[in-house]
Amino acid sequence: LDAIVLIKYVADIENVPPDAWDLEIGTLRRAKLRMVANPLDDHALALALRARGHMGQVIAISMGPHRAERVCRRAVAYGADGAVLLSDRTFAGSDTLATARTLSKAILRVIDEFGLDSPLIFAGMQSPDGDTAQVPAEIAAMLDLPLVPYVTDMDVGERSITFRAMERAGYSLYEVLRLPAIVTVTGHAPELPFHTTLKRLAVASATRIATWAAADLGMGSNETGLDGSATRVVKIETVSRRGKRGVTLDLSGAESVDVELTSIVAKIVGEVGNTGTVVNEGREDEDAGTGISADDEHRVGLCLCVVESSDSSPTQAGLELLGEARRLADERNCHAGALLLGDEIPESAAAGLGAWGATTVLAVSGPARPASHHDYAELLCRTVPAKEPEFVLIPASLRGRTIASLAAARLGLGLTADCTGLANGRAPSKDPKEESGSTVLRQTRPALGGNILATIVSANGPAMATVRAGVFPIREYPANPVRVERISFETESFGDLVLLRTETASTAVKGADENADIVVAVGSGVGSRSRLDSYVRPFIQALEDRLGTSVTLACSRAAVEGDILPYPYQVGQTGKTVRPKLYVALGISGAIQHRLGMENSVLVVSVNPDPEAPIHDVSGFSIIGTIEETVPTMTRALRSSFAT
Amino acid sequence: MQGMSNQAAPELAGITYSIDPKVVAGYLSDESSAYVGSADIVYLPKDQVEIGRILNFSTASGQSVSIAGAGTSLTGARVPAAGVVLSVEKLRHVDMLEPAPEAGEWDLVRGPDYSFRVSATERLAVVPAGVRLFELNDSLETYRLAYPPDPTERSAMLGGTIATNASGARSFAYGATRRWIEALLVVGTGGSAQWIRRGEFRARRGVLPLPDSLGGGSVVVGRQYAMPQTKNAAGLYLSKDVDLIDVIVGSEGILCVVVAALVGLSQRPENVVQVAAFFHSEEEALLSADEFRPAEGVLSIEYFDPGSLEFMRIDYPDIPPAPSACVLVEFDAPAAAGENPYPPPSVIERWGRVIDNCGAKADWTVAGEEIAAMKAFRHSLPEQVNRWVSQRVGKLGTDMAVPGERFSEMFDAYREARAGEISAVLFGHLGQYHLHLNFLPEDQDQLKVAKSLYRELARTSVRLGGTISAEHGVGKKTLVDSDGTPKPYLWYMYGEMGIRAIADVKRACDPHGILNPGTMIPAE
Repeated sequence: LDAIVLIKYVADIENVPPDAWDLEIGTLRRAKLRMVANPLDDHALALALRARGHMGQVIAISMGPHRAERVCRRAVAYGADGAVLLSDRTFAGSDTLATARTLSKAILRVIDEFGLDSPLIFAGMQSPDGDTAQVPAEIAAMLDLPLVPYVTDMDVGERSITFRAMERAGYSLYEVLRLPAIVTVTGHAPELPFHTTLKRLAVASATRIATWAAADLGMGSNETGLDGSATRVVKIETVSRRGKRGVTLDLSGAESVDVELTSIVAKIVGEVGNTGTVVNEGREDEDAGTGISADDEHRVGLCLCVVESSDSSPTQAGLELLGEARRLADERNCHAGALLLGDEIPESAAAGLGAWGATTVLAVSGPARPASHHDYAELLCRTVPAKEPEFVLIPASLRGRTIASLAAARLGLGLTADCTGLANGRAPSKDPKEESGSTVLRQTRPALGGNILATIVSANGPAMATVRAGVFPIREYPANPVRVERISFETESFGDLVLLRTETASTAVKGADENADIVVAVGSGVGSRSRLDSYVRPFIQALEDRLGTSVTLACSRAAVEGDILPYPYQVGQTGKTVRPKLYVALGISGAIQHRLGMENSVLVVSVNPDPEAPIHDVSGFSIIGTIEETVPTMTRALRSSFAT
Repeated sequence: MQGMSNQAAPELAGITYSIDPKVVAGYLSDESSAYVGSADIVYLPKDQVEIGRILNFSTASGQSVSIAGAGTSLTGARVPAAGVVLSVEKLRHVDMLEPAPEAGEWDLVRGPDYSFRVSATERLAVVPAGVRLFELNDSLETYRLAYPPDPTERSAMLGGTIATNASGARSFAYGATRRWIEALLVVGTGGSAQWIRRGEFRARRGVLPLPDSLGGGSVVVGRQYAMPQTKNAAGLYLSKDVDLIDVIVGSEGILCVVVAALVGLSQRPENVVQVAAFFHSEEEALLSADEFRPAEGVLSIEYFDPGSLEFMRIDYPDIPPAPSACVLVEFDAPAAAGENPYPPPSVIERWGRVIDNCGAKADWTVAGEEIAAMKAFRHSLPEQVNRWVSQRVGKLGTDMAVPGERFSEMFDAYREARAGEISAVLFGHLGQYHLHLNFLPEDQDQLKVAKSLYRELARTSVRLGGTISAEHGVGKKTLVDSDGTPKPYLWYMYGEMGIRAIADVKRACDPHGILNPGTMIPAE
C-alpha cells in the first residue's frame, strides 16, 4: 500500500524559548519561535509507515519557506521514501482553502510522478499554530476522496482497511471502500519512535528533495496564496499573557503549608460561592433579549446556524450558536435560522428552538440510517445555495469541524475556525475613503496557542465560521414565533465509508459532564488510579459536600494515555469543552491542547510542582506543589468548619 | 561567639540573612541526601563587600563558614557542621561586582534576574557565581557561543561548578571546568576581594606565591603529591609549577570564596548527532569506543552495560534484547550544504562503518529536536535505579577513572565486582575511561559487602595510576578501612603526606580554618 503524508512546518508553541517573550508587554515574538514538524504529523507518518508494510512507498509533502526542507528531510530520516517541498512566494498568505487547493494539486502530481497506486493520504488532525483542522477535509472535498477524521488506529488487512476514529462519545470503526482516501490522525495514534538509524540518516542527507513552485503545479496566482484565498485577515492583535496569573502559593517557600492552603481553600470557596451571577451571566437574558427583537414581519434574509442534537435534543453548543446568530440577525434585521441536524428530530424539538432565538428552523426529515460527515456536508452544500444565508455558523465539535470544512471547500467559501468573537461590520475597502456598502461578518479567533487574535472576513459569498462550545451565552426568547420547514435528507453515499461499529462510551462511561459547574481534572501528575482514588476522590466528595453541588471528574490526554481514566473524561482539543464556575487542575501541565478545552472556566485553580507549568498562567490560584503535599490538606480544609 | 544563634550580628547589618529553621534547613544537605549538617544562620550576600564583612566577622568570632551553591553536588561538600552558611545565590548581577581587569568590547547580557558580560570576539564572559549554567548557556545562544562544561544538573550555579571542577559527558571533548577558567574574583578570609588572572600567580620549583587577598607570602606545593594522569576531582590540583587558578578550581570552598569568574567560551555545536549503538557483547562495545576516541568531532562516548539496559528497558521496551551493551556516541559535524540539517552522507557513512565493523546489531540515531528525547532515554537509567533503590537500602556508586592503557584491567575488576550476588549497574563516561559501578544492595548485609568491594576497587584504581573520584569530588566522604577504622577518603590516593600537603595550602590561605571545615580533608 502506498501512502502520502502531509507535514506542516509550524512554530513550536509548546516549547516557547524564554527569550521569545517580550517581558515588558507580555507578548510573544513570533520570529523567536522554533520551527518544527507538526507533532500530530509525526503520528500520521507513523501510521503511513505501518500502512506501507514492506511493499509500498511513503512520500511526504510539506509546504512553506525553503527552510521547511528540513521537515521533509526529517520525514525521510524516519522512513519516508521521498519528499517534496512546495515553496513559492505566490503561496504566501494562503488560507486553508488555498492551501488545500495547492496540496490537492501536489498530491495528484506526486501520485503521478512517484507512480503511487491509489495511496492512503495521512495528515495530523490539526496543527498547533492555526489549529483549524480544515485542510485535510478540504482536500477530501476537492479531490472527492473518502475522509476518515480523527483516527486513533488502523488495521490493514488482506482485503480491507479499517480505521478506529474518535467521536464525541466514543469511537467509530470505519472501513474504507475506495482509494485514494484521506485520514486525519490524532495524538492517540501510535507514536513515531524518537530514533532513526545512521543508515536512514545518511539516506536522508543524500536524498534530493524536490521543490515545486506554483508553475510546477500548473497553478495561477489567483488559485493560491493571498489571491486564491477565500478569507482575508483584516486585523492581528498580540495578546498579552501578563496578569492572567492570580495568586501563587509556592509550597517550597511557604512558611506554613497547612495554614496557607487552608486560607486559599477558604478564598476559593468564597469566590465560587459568589459567582452565581457570573455563571448565569451568559445564560440569562440580556440586553439583546425579547424586548429589542426586530419586527418579524420585516425581517429580510437569513443568518443561519447549524444546531447538532444528541438524544433528539439540541446540544448546549448549538443553542449558544443560535443565540449569537439571533443577536447578529437582529442587528441586520434578518431571520435567525437553525439547521437542526439529527437522526430523528421530533416536531416539538424543532419548534422548541424558537425559545432560544430561532425565527426559522430547517429540520431534516429522515434519514433512514445514521448519516456520516459526508452526508451532512452534502446537506449543507444543498441548503446554502438554496437559502442564500448571510453567513453560516457551525459548532466546532469534532463532527462540526469536518462538515464545515467539507462543505466550505465544495462551495468555495471562506471558513474561519474556532471564532471567539463575531460582529457585523462593513466590508473592508482598499480605498479607505470609500465606504463599502455591504455588511460582513467580522470573525475574531485566537491563533498561535492563543497568543494572537486575528480578525478575518470572507472575501466572497456567505462567511462560514465554527465556534467552540462555551464561547457564547445561551439566550432565551420566550413566546418567539418560529416557522419550521422540513427538508428531506437521504443518506446515500456515506462517502464510500462503511460504519462497521460504534463504540459508544456514553452508556457505560459517561465521562466528564460538559455542563457541570465544578470540574476537578487530573493529569499525569496524579500518577495512578490508586492515587486518584486515595487523594482525588475524597477531595471531590469534600468539594461536593462543602459547595452543595455536584462535581464532575475530568482529565487531560496524558491521564488517558497513562490509563488513569478512560477517554470520555478527557477535556481539551480532542476531548470535551467545559466552562465551569470552578476548574481545579491537579497535576496537569496545561499544554495548549488541554487549555483549549477549559479556558473559558470562570476560576481555575492549579496544583503542579513545576512553577513553569503553563496551567499556572491561566489560574486564579496557582499552587506550586505535589498532589500528596496539597490535596489531603485541601480536603481537610474543606471538611473543617471555618467561618464563611 | 556562641550567643548569636537567634539573630544576625549588628556588625553585619544590611546583609540579607535568614534564621528561620525551615529556610536554614534548605542549606543543610545536598542532592545526595546522605549528609545532614547544622547551622544557625544563612547569609545571602549580594556582592564581594558583603562577603568580606561576613568573613571578617566570622574570623573574629571564630565561626566556621560553609559556602553554598545550588546544592546539586553529591558529596556533602557544602553541608555545614556548624556556624554560618554563606550562599552565593544572590551573586547574580555583574554590575554589582568589582569590574574584571579586562579591556575590549563587552556586551552586558541581561536575563530576567541576572546579568553577565560577554565579549563575542574574545569568546570570554564575566559571570557572577550565582548564575546557573542553563541561564548562562541559554543567554549565550544568540551569540552562537556556549560555556562548555556540561554537568548533568544544568541548574548548578557557576560558583559551585568551579568549586567542584564540574565535568560532564562532553568533558571528553572540552575538558572539565578547570580548562575554561581564565580569572577569578575571590574573597579571602581576611575579607578583601581581588581578581586573580591565570598566569599571575604561578608556582616555580614548588613554591606558589599567594596574593594579598589570600594572605600573601607563599606556600610549598607539589611535594609528595602525585596527581593521577586521568580526569580527576579528588584533592587539590597541586604540582611544582601549578597556577593558582588551577588550585582554586576544584578546591571545594576550603581556600576562599569565589564571587565571579572570567570564563572561556566555545562555538556552540550546531549539528549534533547522537548514536546509541547496541552490541552483542561488552567486548565489542569497548572496542567501538577505541575506534571512536580518535575520530573527528566526537563530543562524548558513554557506556551502558547489560544490567543498565535491563533497567532502561522498563521505559524503553524496544531496546534490542539481551545480551546487549550500548555505547552512546555524540558527534558534532558541519552540516551538508543548503537547508540540509544533517552532516554530509559521507561523514555519516564513515561513522556507520565504525559501528558495523565493531559488530553493532542496531543503532538508535537522533539529530535536531530529537536530541531531547535521547536525553530522556539516558536519564531513564538514574530514574529507574533511584526508584529501585528507594525501596531498599541505598546505592553505593564508584567514580573512578584510570589511564587508558590500564583500562582493561580496571574493567576486569568491575566485572569481578559485578559478578557477585549484589545487583549492580556499570555505566558512564567510557570516552575518558571513567565508568560508574553502582552497587544496589538488597539489605544491610549486602551493603556491607558492597562497601568492601568498593574499597578494593578504589585500591585497584590507585594501583593502576587512576583516581578514586574523577568528577564527584571528595566533600565529606570517608572510607572505612578493612580493619574497621575510618580513614580520610583521600588517604587511599595520596596517603598521609598528600593530605598534609593539602592542609599546608589551606592553612596558608585560611589560617584560622574557618572555611568549609571537614571538607576534602579532616578539620584540624
